[in-house]
Amino acid sequence: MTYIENIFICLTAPLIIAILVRPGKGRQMMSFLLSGMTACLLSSYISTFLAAVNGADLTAASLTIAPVVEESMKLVPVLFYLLVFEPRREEASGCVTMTAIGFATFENACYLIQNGAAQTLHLLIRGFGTGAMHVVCGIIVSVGLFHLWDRVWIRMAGIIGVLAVAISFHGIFNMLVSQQGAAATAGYLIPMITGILSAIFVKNLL
Amino acid sequence: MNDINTLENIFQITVLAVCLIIAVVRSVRTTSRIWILLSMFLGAFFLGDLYWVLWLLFYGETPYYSYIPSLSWNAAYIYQLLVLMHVQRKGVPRQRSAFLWIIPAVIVGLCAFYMTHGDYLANLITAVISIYSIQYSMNGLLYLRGKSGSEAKARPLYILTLVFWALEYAMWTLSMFWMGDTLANPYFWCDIALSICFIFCLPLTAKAAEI
Repeated sequence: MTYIENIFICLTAPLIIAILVRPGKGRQMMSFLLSGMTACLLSSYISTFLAAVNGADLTAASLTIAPVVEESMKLVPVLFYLLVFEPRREEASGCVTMTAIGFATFENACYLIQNGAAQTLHLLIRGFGTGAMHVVCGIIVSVGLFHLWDRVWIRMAGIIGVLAVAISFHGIFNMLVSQQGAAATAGYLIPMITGILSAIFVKNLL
Repeated sequence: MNDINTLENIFQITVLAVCLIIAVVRSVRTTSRIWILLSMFLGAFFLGDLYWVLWLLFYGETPYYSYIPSLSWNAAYIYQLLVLMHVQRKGVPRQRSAFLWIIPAVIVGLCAFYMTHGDYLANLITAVISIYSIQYSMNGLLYLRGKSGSEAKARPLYILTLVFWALEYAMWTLSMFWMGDTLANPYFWCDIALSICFIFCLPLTAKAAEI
């Protein structure tokens, strides 16, 4: 059994202290890192609950339930920030990315506790692959949201749309990495390549 | 997975991937909202298709219990509607025509029929989005009757949207009655025609963006 609450406490304690003592933009970024980790913790509870209610096994839960829950939970702190604080586009873009990084970091930490830290190459590919996937989903959300943050009905449609796109990307990633061999390698490589291409070409849309 | 089905799916995914790359390049170059919306439309449709095909490939059956592909396709329909709304952002007066009322009635009937075979919520959402999309296109077409000049550049995009929805509804209805996995099944021809629609999306959106 993995006590993810304990891992959460250990990882977030220094962050919480830093948020309390550090002023300015650093505090904002660390708050979103913390939000991402919290979203990951809550996602695991909700996914486990939904899997139990639907009688889904680990694979079915990973392919059909987890992408929906995780992407929705990641969007919650970002939406709260956008709706309540109405930040500038550049500020909000960084916050989406930090939430995604926080989520990926906590997920990787839980994976390490469950599966051990002995296989360097596998962990290198998985670490970058999962991190890149969450960041790419964040980029999709950023581009979609910031270019549709207009009238209320466009915002509503835009939020639903970007969420659905991010869920599909996440679902495809989970499906590929749950396979063996070339499919799994492709699964880890696709978000890395997409992330690199986004960093080079899509940055002027963020 | 059936050979024709596989080839037809690969064809559509390839078409969507190429169109998506072109749309994203245009989005990055122009930072124009219409191109970003079109990229999201193509991207959402592409991801829905890819999820569906990968599931077929790995598990040998359609992802019946997974709502992720239908979520993605509905997102694509929303973006298609947003493209039309963007084209009509300067305002198109509401037209009076029986067509504008017949279409929702037909779609509601079809939706009720599909609900007897499938999911209630997904069918309802698709029906609502398609009614809006078709009404926007029809209203635009009726408004442009006898008009020329800059505004008329949106006409081909409206026609394409109507063809797109006609093909979608034809496919859904055909799949209820025609189960054959041969080229004699009109479902495959409709799906290939739908793939060709995606190719036309790019030049026709570019033309509509000039308004």
